[in-house]
Amino acid sequence: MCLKLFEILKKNIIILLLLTVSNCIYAQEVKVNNISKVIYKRSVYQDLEIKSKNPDVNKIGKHVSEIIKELEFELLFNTNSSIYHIVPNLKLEESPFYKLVAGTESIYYRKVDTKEFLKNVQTLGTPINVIMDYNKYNWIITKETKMFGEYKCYKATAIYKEFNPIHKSVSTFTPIVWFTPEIPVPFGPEGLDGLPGLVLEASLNGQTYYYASKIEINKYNNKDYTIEKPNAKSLSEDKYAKILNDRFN
Amino acid sequence: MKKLFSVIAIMLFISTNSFSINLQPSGYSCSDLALDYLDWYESKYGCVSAEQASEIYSVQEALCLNHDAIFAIN
Repeated sequence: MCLKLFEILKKNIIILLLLTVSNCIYAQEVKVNNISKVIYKRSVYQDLEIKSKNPDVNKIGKHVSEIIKELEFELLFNTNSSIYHIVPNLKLEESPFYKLVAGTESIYYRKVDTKEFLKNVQTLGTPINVIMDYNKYNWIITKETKMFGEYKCYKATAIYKEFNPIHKSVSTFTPIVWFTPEIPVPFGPEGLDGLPGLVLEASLNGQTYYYASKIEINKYNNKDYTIEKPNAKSLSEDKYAKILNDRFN
Repeated sequence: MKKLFSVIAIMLFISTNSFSINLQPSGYSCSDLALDYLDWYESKYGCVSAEQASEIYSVQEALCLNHDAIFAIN
């Protein structure tokens, strides 16, 4: 009888312990209940000295490299939606080379409840919202972790292929991201998102990467910022790809 | 005299045609420059998506065609 009672008590204690541990893990999560902001910067894993055969490109490249180092990107989000774009830089805008760098940056918008994911591009002369697959990347979450400041991040990878109309060949990318489930929102930089946590570092091609340089959770409200879908004509990703292909054929 | 006129005519022809295909100071056309720039960019910063390649190419070409101050550098 006593032995049975002891067994029941033992089981209950184990359950109680498990519940306490899971509560502790849950307590590490940051609840996003207001507008939050992350500033990302761009860097390269290896700073390669590349020379072009075209002397004009070398002149342009020198200035572009300087500008790229100083660029900042802003991700604004709440629990339901996010918008990501380059931060305008008045100092850099004075340089004629700034247009060359900033003009190639898209705005990304993701909304959870309506399963919307789009990028706003300027390529066609007028702003266009390119509607993308909400689960664009088929992420594989690995067990590999690293600390990013106070946040524990998990590595996720994917394989992504697409036709490049200029090179006239299929490019294969293996994007890598580091996300933290401690900030449980599916947002990140450059459209490299859609994971069970905020992406704090991301690379599409293994050479250039974006990393969070400033994380401000719940610091702002609707008076400071609004997270709205860019107002533009919509196009499907397939139609947009076709237009780009036709343009370079 | 006839020879001189011929030379002038040829020079005029070359200069007008050069202008119409937007040759750069170093002798590259705007599309050459855009392609070379994209090659350089991808060698330095890694392969870019189709969309970004198109944007990099288009922005570079448009700036070149518009004779932006960017190309006045020597």
